[in-house]
Amino acid sequence: MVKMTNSPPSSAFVFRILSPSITPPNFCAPRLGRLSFVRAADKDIDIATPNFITSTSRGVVPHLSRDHVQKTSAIGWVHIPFESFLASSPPVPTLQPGAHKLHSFLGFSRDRYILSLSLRDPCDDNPMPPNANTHVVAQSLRGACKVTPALYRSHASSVQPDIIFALADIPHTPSQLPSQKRTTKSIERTLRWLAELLMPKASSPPLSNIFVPLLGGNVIAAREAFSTQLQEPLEGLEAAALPQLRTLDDGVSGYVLDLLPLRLTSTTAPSASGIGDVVPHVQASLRSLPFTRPRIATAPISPHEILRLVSRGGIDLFDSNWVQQAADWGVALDFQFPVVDIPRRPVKLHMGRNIYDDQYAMDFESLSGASGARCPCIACSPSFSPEPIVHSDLDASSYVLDAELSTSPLPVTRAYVHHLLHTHEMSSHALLAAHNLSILSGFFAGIREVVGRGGEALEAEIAKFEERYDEGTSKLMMEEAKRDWEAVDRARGKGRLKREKEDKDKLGESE
Amino acid sequence: MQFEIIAKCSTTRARVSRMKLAHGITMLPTFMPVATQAALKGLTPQQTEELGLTLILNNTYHLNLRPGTKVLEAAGGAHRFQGWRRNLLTDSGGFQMVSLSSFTKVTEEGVLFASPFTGEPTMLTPEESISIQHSIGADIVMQLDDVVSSLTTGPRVEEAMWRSVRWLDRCIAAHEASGRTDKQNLFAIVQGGLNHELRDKCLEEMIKRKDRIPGYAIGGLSGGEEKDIFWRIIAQCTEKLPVDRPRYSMGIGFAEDLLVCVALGVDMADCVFPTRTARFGVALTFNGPLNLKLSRHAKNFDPIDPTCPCPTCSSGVSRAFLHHIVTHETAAAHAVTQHNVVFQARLMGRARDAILKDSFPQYLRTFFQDYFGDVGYPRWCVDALRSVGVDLLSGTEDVQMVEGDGAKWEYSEA
Ligand SMILES: [Zn+2]
Ligand SMILES: [Zn+2]
Repeated sequence: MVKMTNSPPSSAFVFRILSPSITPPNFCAPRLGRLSFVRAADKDIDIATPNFITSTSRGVVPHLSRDHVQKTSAIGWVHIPFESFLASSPPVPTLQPGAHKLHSFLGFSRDRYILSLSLRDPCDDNPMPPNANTHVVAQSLRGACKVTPALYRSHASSVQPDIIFALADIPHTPSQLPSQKRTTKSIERTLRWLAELLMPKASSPPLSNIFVPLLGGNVIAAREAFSTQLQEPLEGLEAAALPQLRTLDDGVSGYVLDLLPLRLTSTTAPSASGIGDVVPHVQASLRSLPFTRPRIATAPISPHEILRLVSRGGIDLFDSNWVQQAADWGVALDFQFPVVDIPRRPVKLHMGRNIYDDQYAMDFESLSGASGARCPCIACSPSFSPEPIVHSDLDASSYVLDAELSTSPLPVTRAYVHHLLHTHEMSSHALLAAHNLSILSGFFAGIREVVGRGGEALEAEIAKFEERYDEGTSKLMMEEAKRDWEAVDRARGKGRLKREKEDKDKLGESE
Repeated sequence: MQFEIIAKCSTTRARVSRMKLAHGITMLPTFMPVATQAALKGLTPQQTEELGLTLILNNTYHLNLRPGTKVLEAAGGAHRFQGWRRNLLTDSGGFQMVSLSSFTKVTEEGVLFASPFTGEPTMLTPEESISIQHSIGADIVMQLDDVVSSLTTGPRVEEAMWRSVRWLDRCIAAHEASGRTDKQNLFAIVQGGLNHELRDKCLEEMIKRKDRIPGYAIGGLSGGEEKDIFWRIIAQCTEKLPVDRPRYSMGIGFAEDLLVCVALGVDMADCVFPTRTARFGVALTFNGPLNLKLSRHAKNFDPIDPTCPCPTCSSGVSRAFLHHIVTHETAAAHAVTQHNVVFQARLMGRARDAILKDSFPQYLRTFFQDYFGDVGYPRWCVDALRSVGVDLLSGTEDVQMVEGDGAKWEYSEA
C-alpha cells in the first residue's frame, strides 16, 4: 500500500469481494466482502460485509454509556454526522490534542472502531433551508449554518475519520418533487463539491477514503446521469486542478445511497406493506459504476428492505438508525435470518415487540424470544464484573459472595423493561438499544452465511423470512409503540427536568 | 443482620463497621444511592455493582404504584425483578405519600391519601406498609412514621412523634408475625422535629424496644431547617442511640453533610442529590462540584477527575465532550451519574480507611481544605466538628467562614 508521508489518511482500507467469484459479476448481485482497515500502529480491523454501521447522535451511540458501548460487540463501525459540532467555531473536536482527534474526542479506540464522517445526519428528515452553489446548510445546535466545501474539507482533514462522506446537495423539500432543473443543479453541485475535496492544495493534501453520495433523486434517468458524469474524463479547469485523477470516480473509494430522500419524494407505487421499493433507484445508480467498491445505504427502515437491497442491489453496508429508533420507541426487536424452522404458526410474527404493551407487565421472558438463539447483549446475557471498584482497604470482604449471590445473572425480563418504560427510566432505552443492535448484528451474520452459500439460497431464505415476519404489521407495531412512547413522554418526560428543578427542595427523598 | 464495629475514631464518634445482610456484606459508613423505580437512574444493576456499591435504596411508594406488589411477588421480589443481587433498603412510603399526594390526612389508623390512579382516598397503615415492603423483599425495611416537615412547630410535632412510636410497635408486631425477621431487618425512625426534648423522649421510647430493632434511622431532618440546628439534632441522636446498632441519617447527600454526620457517629445516609444533579450536568469532585454546562468546560480536554476510577474518568471522557452532550443525550446523564455515585463512594471509602487508621480528623481537614479552601468553610461544619474534638481551622491560615448552608455551587450562566 502506498501512503503519502505528508498527511496519511487516518487509515487506508482494502475492500475485497470474496463471493461471487465469477467475473464479471452481475452489478447488483448479492456479495460477500471484507473491508480491511490497515492501522499504522494499532491492530488492523476487518469488517465482514454485508454489515451495518452504528448511528450516533451528537457523537454518542444513543443511550449507551461508554462501558455499554464496549460491552456491545455488535458495534464496530460508527458513523458521525459532524453538524452537531458546528455550534462552536472552531468545532471542539478539531481542538482535541494529539492525532486521530475524532476517535479520541469521542472515545472510540482506534484498535476497535471504524469512524465514518458526514456533514449532515443522513437520517434527519427535518426540512432545511435550501443549499446554494457555494455551501450546504447543516443543522447545528444553534440552528442552521452554512458550510462550504473548503470548510468541510478542513474539518474532516483535521479530525481524521476513517471514511469521509462527500457533501451532497439533497433538496429537503419533502412534500414536493424537485423539478428537473433542481435535480440537474443538485448533480452539478455535488460533483463540483466532490472535486473540491479531491484537489491537491498547498495548504492540505486531498482527502482520501471518500465515499460519494449517488445523487439523482427519484428520477431513474437522473441517477444514471450522475453515475455517468462521475466517470467522465475531467476536462478544462477541473482537469488542471486535479492532475492526479482521470475522472472524479477515480478519486472515490466507495458509494453512498441515501434512501431517505427517495422515500420523501418517492413516486414508486408502495408495496402491499406500504413501503416503496427503492431497488430500481439503487440499481440505476450502480449499473455503470465499478463493482469493486463498497456501497453503503443510509436510512433503511426494515429487515425486509435490507434483504431486498442486499439481494437485488448488492449493497454492502447499512446504517442502524431504524433499530435505534425502535429502541427509543420501546420496541425490542426479535427476528432471525435465516428463519429457523419451528412448528408452523397460524399467524405471521412481528419483527419485534412493543414492550409498552400491557401484555408484558407480567412477562418474565427475556427480550429475545424463547425460540431464538441466545442474544449476546447486556440485557439478554448480562454479566457482573468480577472486579467492582474498591473504595477502601476494607471493601474486599464485601465481595466474598456466597453461593446464592454468585449464580450467573438472569436475563433482563420484558416485565422489567415494561416497568422502566412506563416509569420513564432511561435504562429501558439503554437495554433496548444494546439489544436491538445485537439482534441486527446477528441478522447480518445470518445474511453473510446465506450469501456465502451462493446460488438461489438467498432468494429462498428471503421468501421464508417474508413468510414468517410480516412487513406491514411490523410497521404498524412500530407506529403503535411510537404512540405509546409519546404518551408516556408527555406524561412523565417533557419538561420533566424543569419540573424537577422546581421540585428540587420540595421532594427530597424520591427520584 | 450481623453488625460488627471494626474500628472507632479516637477523636470523633466516627466508626467503621461491617453489616452482613441477606445479600452480602456492606461496609459502613456508606452512602446509599436512590433507585426510586427499581433502577439507579439510567444504569443497569451490573453497572451499579461495578461501581462498588453494595447497598441501594428503592422507594416503596413508587414500587407499590408500579409495577405493584402482584408483579413483584410473581417476579420473586424486587431483587429478582431488577436483577440486583446486593443489599437493598426500602423506605416506608409515608414520606412520598405526604410529599407527592395532592391530599393526605394522618389518622391514628394510618395515612389517608388520594390514589394517584383513581383519586380515591386510600389508607396506608403501618401494617400495610410493612406488608408492601415484604412483597418488595428489601434487606432493610423502614417503619411507617408520621412525617411532619422539619419546619413545623407546635403540638403537631409532639403528636407525630408519639404516633411514630405507636406505629413502630404496630410495625414490629406485623413484621415479627410475618416470620421474615431473619431476611428483612426493620429499622425504627427517630422523630421529634427540631425539639431536643421531644427527640429525647422519642429516643428513650425507641431505645426501650432495642431488642426487637436491628437499626435506627434519624428522620424528620433535611427539610430546609437551619444547618446549625440540623447537626445538633444529629449529634443528640447519635449520642443516645445504642452503639451496637447501625444509624441511618435519612435524606443526607452533600459531601460536607456526610462527613459531618460520619464524625457525629452516623453509619448510613441516602439522597437523590448525586444522581439528580448528574442529570443537570453537575459533576462532584473533591475540589467542589463542576457545572459541565458552563462554557468554561467547552474546550477542556481533561476528565472530570483524572484520579477517579469511575468508567467515565478512567476511559478518558473529557469535560469538553461531556459539555457537548449534557442535557442533550441520556448517555451524558449516565456518564455523570456513574461518576457522581463513585465520588460519593470514594468520599465514604476514604472515610472508612481514615477511621481504620485513626487519621479521620486529618481526613476531615484535608477534605475541607480541598473542597472549601477557595470559598470558605461553612461555619456550621466548623462548629459541628469542634463538638467532637476536631478543629478544622487549626493549622490553616486565612480561612474564610461562611454563614448559612455553605453549600458550594458552580452556578450556571443561564
Ligand atoms: Zn438481547
Ligand atoms: Zn469519575
